Amino acid sequence: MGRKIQKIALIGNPNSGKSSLFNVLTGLSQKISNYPGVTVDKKSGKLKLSSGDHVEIIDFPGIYSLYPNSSDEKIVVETLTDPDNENYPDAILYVAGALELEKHFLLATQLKELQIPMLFCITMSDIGDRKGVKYNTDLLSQYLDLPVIEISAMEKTNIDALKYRLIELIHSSGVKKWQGSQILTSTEQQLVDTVNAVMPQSNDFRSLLIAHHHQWLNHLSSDQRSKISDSLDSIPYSSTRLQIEETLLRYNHFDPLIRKSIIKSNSDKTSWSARIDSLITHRIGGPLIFFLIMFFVFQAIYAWAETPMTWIEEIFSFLSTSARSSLPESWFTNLIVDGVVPGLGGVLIFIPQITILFLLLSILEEAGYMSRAVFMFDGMMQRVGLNGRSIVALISSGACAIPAIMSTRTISNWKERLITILVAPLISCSARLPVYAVLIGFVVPSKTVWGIFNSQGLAFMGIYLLGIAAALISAWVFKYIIKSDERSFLMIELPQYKRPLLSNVLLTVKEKVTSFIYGAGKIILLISIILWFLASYGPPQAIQEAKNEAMSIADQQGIEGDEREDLLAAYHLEASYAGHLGKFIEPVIRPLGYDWKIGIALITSFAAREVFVGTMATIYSVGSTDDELTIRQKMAAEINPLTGKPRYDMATSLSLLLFYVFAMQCMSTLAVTKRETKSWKWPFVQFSFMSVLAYLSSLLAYQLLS
Amino acid sequence: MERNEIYVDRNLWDLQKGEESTVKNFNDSALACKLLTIGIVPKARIAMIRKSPFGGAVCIRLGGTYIAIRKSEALCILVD
Repeated sequence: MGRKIQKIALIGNPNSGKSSLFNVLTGLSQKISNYPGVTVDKKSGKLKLSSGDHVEIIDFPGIYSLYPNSSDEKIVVETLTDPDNENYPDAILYVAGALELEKHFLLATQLKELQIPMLFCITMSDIGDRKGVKYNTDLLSQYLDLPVIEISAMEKTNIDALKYRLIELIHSSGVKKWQGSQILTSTEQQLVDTVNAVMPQSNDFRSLLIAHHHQWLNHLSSDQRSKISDSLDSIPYSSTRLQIEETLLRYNHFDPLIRKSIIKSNSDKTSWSARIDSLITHRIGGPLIFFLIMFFVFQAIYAWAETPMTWIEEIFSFLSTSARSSLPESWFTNLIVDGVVPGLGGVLIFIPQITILFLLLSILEEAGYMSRAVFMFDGMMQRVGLNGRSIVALISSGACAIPAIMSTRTISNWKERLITILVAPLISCSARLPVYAVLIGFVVPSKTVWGIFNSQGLAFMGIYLLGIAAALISAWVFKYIIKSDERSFLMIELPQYKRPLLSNVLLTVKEKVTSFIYGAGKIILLISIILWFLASYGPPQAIQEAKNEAMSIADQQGIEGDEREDLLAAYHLEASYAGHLGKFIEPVIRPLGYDWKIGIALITSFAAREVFVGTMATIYSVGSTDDELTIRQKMAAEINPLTGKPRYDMATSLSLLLFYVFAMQCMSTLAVTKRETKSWKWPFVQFSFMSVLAYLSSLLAYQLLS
Repeated sequence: MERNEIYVDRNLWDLQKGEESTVKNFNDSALACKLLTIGIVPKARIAMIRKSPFGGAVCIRLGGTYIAIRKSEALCILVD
């Protein structure tokens, strides 16, 4: 008989040390999946106890109360108000930080009302000891009618005792109604009765939560929702008022108890952490330090990622060549060699940069710096319709918009979150870099400026700033377009600075990189295969004619070997479906200074922007080399038949550069936007406004300069 | 004029940098509801530590915890 796997929910305030405990308990068995019906990632891991029990530990997002704000936080209430939910816990491991224990009691007493077996765990006892904080745990345990245990995830003390308590917990039977339970007011009783009439609950507090949250709880059927809503309309009450009263009553109830249980308290009010803050968040010094840190982060991304990126490139070109030589000549081999392998390579090539970015960001986060950045920039961000928390997403976007968009889940206000999602892809991501590298040479000749700077380096920086400016300005415009009645607010703890825990950092990096591979990878791969088809096949007759023509030219001019292959490939591409598409869109892009060849590159860029370089290489029949310099020379030699001047003159190149800065050329980002906003409307809006922005700026640049 | 000002409620935003006071009440119930959950409750001791570089937010100390909140939230917290 297979034993049922018990589910243990890890619940606590943000910064309670919950994640560290989760990492200690589950280590590498962690996995990320989805909560049913919502997009919030579910973090869970397995733990085998000495009793032979296998338990699943679910790390729920940190919350302060069962009256939640952000979509991250709502998931906790969604799960706990629905005993049929697949994640409804058999037991709760409640995590509270040793310092400021009182702030962890509001949520603990609310959870206690739900009559789920619970263990109260005080973490960071090592910090508590150092600060000389001491509690009478017997008194706390008596009051809460719960086992209370003190542990340290950092120094791994009492972890075995904790596991032993967990065994007791999952084998305990039933939970009595708590003595400290709050007596419902008559209005609250009416709310409970209303809910029970529609969907009977075994617990009154659960009914009360459903009454307060019935509008957004997903597990209610629309019928239940409208019935509850109709009945509640006849009761004169204010949900906010009731929540405030309930919260205050709880504070009044547990406050005296906490006072009594404090044996020693933390008297050191101006800690060293606060002294660091007076510099780190200083009016002038703060932003300056922030920009220095960001400068270092992006330097590191580009400097450290280069070598592993070259390896990945070499591995994939080796795979392509060896597959080509060992597999028989067939369409399937072509699919593998020209479609699947480069597609996979196109995904994996970004891993070094993304890994480094998230490594550095999670170190900053773990150390406590990111919440300071949120605090510093909230005012500026508010002015353009964003939230201080948007800064994290905008920085991540410098590597890739996909994890950036996923990181907006902590923004509680829907409008601010939506605007962050919409504008994040305007920040130049790493996929645009190879394109910039090819084009910038045509726009800005390389020379030394003011003795120390390289003009092209400056141009690079200018392009980045352009992306940032476009993001902020677009956000500001959206602020006036998107309507919302929801109140916006910010409440973020500035935790004590601490030394980052390596295992926490590494697990976060692993989580982010995996979500990128699965989020973007699948689509990039799929699009690569579609594009391979479009570029490999065409109307049979046209393909044959192109081949004949190329062969006769090659024969006449005596072109042999690789060059001959490249020439054939170029003619083939022109005759393919991709070539037809390029010619089809030529009239639209001609005002921007582009021909059908650039048109093909624009189309193929939808898989991922850096595909531009590869496509250019094929078009200009240098497919057999991947050297940027060779491609650039070919492009430089190309003549525009209408003007008789070089095709890639300043005007066209700048126009193309601007197009790549602003255009939404990333299917994966659109897919993630769809997933996060749960509608096709927003990816459509995002695609449209960015395309319009790209088209108009390129048009303006080309028409003014040519 | 002077007499009247004594009766005007002070809010958290009015406090000087580093000044500590006691929370009296709130003038906005929707925001109060959120602030209560992090422990900003009547009778709590609260200190204004500093305002953010670009305005808009303020860092406060509540017991031994430092928290950043927006100006609009600070304005709704009435203090002694």
